[in-house]
Amino acid sequence: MANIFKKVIVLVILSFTIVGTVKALQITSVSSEVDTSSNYQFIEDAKLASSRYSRPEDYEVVDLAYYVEITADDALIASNSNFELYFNEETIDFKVKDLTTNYVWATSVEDADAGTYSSFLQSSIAIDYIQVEKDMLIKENVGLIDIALTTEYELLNDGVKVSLDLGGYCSSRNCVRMYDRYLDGDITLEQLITAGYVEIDAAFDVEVRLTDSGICAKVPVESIVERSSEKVLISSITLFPGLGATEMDNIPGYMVIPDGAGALIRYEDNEGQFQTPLIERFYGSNLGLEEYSTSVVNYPLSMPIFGAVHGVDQNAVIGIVEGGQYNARLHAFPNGARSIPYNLIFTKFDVNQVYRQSYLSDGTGGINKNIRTLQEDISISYNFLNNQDANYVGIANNYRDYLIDNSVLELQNQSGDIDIFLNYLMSDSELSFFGSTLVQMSTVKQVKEMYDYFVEQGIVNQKVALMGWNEGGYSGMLPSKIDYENSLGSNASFRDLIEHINQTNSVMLINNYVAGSEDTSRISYRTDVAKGINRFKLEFERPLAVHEMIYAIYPDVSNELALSDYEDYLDENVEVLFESIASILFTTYDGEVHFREDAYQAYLEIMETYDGIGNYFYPFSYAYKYTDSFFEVPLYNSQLKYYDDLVPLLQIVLKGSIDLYASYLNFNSLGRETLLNIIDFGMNPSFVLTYEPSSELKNTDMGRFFTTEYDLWKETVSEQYNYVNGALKYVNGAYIVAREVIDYGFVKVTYSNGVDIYINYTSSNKTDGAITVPYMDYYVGGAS
Amino acid sequence: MKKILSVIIVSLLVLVTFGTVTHAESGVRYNTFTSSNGEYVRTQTAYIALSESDSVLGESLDTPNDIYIDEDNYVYIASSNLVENTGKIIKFNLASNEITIFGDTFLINPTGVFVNEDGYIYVADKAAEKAYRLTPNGQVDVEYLEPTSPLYGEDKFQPRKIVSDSKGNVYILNNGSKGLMQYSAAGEFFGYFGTNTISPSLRTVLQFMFFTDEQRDRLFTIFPPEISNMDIDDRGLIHTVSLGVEEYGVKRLNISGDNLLPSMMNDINLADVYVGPIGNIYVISRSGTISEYDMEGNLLFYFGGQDVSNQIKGTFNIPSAIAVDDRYNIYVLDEGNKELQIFIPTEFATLVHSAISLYQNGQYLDSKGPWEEVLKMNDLFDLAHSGLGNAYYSSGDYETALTEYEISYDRAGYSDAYWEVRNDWLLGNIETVLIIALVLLVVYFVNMRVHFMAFATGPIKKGFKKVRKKVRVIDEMLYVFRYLKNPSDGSYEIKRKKRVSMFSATILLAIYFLIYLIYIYKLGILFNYRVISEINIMEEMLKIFLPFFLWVISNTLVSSIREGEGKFKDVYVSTIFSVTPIIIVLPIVTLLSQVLTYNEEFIINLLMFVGYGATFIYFFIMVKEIHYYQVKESLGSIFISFFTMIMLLLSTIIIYIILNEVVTLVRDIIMEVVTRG
Repeated sequence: MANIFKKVIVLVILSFTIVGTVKALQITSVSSEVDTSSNYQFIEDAKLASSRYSRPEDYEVVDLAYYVEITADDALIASNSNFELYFNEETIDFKVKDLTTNYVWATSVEDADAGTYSSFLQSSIAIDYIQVEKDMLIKENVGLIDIALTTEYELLNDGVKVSLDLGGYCSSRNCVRMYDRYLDGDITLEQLITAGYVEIDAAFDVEVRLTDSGICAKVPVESIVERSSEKVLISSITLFPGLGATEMDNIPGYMVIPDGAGALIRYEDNEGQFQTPLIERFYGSNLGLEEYSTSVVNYPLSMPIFGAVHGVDQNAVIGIVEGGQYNARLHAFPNGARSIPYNLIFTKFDVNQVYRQSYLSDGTGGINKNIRTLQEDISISYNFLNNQDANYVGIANNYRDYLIDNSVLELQNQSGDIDIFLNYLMSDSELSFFGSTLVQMSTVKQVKEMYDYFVEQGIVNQKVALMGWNEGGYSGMLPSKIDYENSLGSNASFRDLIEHINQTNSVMLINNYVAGSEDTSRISYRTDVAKGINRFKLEFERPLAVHEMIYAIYPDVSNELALSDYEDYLDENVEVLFESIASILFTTYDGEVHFREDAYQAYLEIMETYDGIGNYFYPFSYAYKYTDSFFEVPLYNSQLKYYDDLVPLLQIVLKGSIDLYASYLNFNSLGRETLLNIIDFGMNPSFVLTYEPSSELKNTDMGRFFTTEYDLWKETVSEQYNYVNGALKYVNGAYIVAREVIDYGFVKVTYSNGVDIYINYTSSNKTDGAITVPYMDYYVGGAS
Repeated sequence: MKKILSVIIVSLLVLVTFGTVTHAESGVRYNTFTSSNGEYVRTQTAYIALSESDSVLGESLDTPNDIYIDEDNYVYIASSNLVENTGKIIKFNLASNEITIFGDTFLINPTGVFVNEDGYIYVADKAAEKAYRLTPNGQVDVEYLEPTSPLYGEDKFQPRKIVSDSKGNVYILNNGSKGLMQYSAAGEFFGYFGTNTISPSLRTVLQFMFFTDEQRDRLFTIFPPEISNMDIDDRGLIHTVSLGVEEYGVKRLNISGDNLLPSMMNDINLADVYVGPIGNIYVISRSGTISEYDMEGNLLFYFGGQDVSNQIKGTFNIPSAIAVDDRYNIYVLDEGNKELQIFIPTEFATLVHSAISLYQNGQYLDSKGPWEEVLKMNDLFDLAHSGLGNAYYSSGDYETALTEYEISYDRAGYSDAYWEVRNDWLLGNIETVLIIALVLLVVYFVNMRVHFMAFATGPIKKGFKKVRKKVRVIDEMLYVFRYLKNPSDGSYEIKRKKRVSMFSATILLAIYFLIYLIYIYKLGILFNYRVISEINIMEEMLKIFLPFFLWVISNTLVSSIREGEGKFKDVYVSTIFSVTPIIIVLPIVTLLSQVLTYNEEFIINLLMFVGYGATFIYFFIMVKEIHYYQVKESLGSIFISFFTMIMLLLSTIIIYIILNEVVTLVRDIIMEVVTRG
């Protein structure tokens, strides 16, 4: 009996121990999960509502009280089945009535009360002018109503042509009245000047036409006349500063900014928190003409568009800059900026620009000079959208249709597994006893091994790039002609590798024809390194680097070098991945001034020639026509404080026409979240790999590639590819038709082939009808 | 340090402009850096700028001045309405979002807030010239007033910051503070604590020496660097940050007010400090950069920046306070933009934190996994290599530990691991070593009696003599040993008999330089603090040859008017000869440094000491003999020569500058003609 009792006791103790142990283990595992995956509620709320995500839409209906009215002064001058265009001769204002929603868009803000900006906003056309005699001081934001002028109208069958002859700027209404008396000869110019008159004496025409989708405004460049150019020059022309403007939070909606992926500024009462408006040049800063440090964005504005939504799914407008875009600056004012109670979005077209010319070799001091930069007609289209198109997706779709109509984009015809971008860094250089020595990162043989591994893993569709294939390694040695670094493998072995990959995919050699260094043998400092308009070389010092100087190359020289290499690439049966060429435009001087348009023309010829084998990092919209694969697609916007949402504007425009590749996922510090973001935005994954450990790069100029080692990454590469491909293979070749934020951190993206991809960024499971999406995961619906 | 960083940032900017940069895209506008061998290097984004707002949970922040987070996840913010002259403490809970306001009835300009373990709230009110201890529900419990004690001095009492230790002692930072004012719990003033000192620079010493009393009086009204903020850690140690201090801007004070932290990589003007969950130190500078250090003061992350236009998220205008909760979220107040910005850690930072936490608990082996993950995300993260080194070391894998320590420049770890590796080798090879030693000993003793080795050494000696006779250069160079044996005879021979030619001496100099180069390149990692890849051959040449030639020239000049006998050639040759002792020591040290650890560091030090000492003595004797001086005259000659060297250098620099100006002027004239034309 005692024996049995003993056994029972032992059994009980044993089972308690086991249960206890298991429990204890469970507790630790649960607690550790909580620690890593979820944060405080306060933080979680702030996170999902932050400008790193899209917020759920606010469908509040615009109050009729805030509708602009058509008055007796507005004359109907053109109409079609969608819109009516009204023109007020007296004030030179335009109004467009959307016949579907009866919403009226005005090109100025009536009775705007905005301090020094009042007359600017009350006018449909405004200028900035340069006072040549006052050290090129620019008088900004002068509205037409403050200018004494004479006008002539010519009605066109779909609009009107207004010829403006600007007499001068009048700081008071009295002065404007006196101007007529001056024209009649009743008073003298001196008397007029005492009334606050500043003589401008310039003229230009504005043509406004009604189109099927909205209106188009144009200023022919030859119509711009500056009669007293020794005194006053037109700095810039602003068309329709008040179009799309809203006051404080009266009207629900947002502005759409093409910054990076895309940004929204919602119409909320900012309580004066933001004093500085966003002012950015389309297609990035001009390296050769102004201080590029004044820019605050992380990504140059790559598309010349902007938008405003007045009531989500009610009314919206998209502005597409069609002419003068190389000289245009986007202005976005969240309310409170410059103490104005309005939300504004408009474009200024620069006619003349001021720069500082130093006469000292250290670049200090000097005088202000001006240059006429505008070379082509100013032209901007405003397309008005309504109902389900009146949101940022509609705006992006409208621009995509526009690009397709203009045969810039072409819809893809592809399906199945997505591509992955794998860039192999082969070599770079570091300083040594004398000069620099090569650091080998991946030999030809090793690249082949890595490529084959991923093919074996089932990643059949690959975009392969080689970096540092050229003699001397990557940094500082480009532009390079086809001259393989032979310590990595013989020419024959390079060709074998290319042929091997070409069997199923293609290989791109990374090259850069825009920027060189002091160690680039192909460029001469004297003749090839570009000078800015101030005749200083465009050179930038990097004191701690192996290659200490970065030089900008004259676009003409880039053109010459690239075109002369074209045959070689064809012979090698290899493609090119161009750095910089599709994402920079700058003014240069080589005895005469070459404008951004000229740089564009030089690069355009390269892109045309290389059509089919040329690929680009972050191409601007003018390069889309020649782009099949877009590398380094931004996943974020510049995260400015007044941005409220991150939206995939760029991706919606391009998905389905161009393959979009994200930045290298090696440097992703956010884990799963970035993968979800990539799926949300329809982007393919990218990695950069080396065979040798990345610590070898420590003393090279590529120290920013701090984790690239193949051995460490190979499993993650296929794992992450499979995860992304698991969603995007269903929408390969399709474009985005809708994107709905169901709840904070819970998004549904609908594609043209009927597939819905749900993304759940939150730390809890989310449901939409019968569909449940696990936390931090995606779900593909509607796939056949 | 800051300059280096701005250089890095500028170069990145250029890269961005040319589109050649592949930025680690995580939607933040700053780059994150960590330290590697004392330099800033790029790393994965550690913190994400999440949001910025001018209110919390609907309550306006007004002008926020200070923030504190207690153990129960309550956040306290001291804020002031500078227009209405009112202040308040906002208290809210991170988990439950409940919010309460208190102190709004009596506070005017609360600039400091602190909460102790029992929930008592300490508030410093600058405008009210008072500090308070409040009960957990916001009632005034104790007031801290301007001390009447003579210890206090004549400063105006404007308490800016306040903390309290576990014993209830209260530390108050007064405006423009000399140090921390220490009070008892009941409000009695004890005195100052943790004051900064003025460290004498060469300039102040010179000023002290040469200035008149009057000037000196004016001069020494200089104050020590101002302590700008403070915090107290779990162990009750107070941390302070100061303005205008490099390297020691962050201090951890022990009970007697001494600094326990080593020299750190910090920005020069620090605004606030906070000690985080695992003893990590967070610091924000006036220029908006945030640094996170581990407990020992190693820089983990450095990020952030300034944007006075208030457009870019994650940057600041006038940052006033920083706090960190137990999930490593960072809260920063900006009194310029009047907002609270929140940063959350990325997966990368979370990994680093968990590894450090394990590591600090001594769980080296457990920390191996996280460290490896960290390295996967950044192979250049020194601390991870060092941590991994520790893990391998504690598991007895000293060889692997050694490589990890080497990558991370962790010299102390390397030394320990190397000691073990060497020990293993010695134990494994003890027999061989002993046998070889024994054989050699036997051979030596036998040879002493029988001289059988002469058979082997004889021909070598003979051949050597032959070479010496035939090749004059070698003979002349080898004369250096004779010179060292008897400098006075040597000098005579050099002077009078032209024993050594300039050519031979120059060859010798070149050989010496070569030995020096080998020394700087090949000195063992434990004793070599240079970054090998950054050694610049021109710089080294300048460092060695410039003083050498300056010396030879100025000493010749000086001695020619001070009745010295030595000619230029004599000074040249004998100077080269006299530095031989240190040149002999260098290769020995280089060799030894390969096998020694820090335990035997004294051997290296001793050798170097002997080398320098002997060189110094020979140098003196050389001057004395070559010019045939007395001791006093020699000393005079040396000093005047040094002075002449400085003068020569200065005048060369001045001429260079003037010439440069002329060249620039001509270039500018040409440029203006060309540009205007």
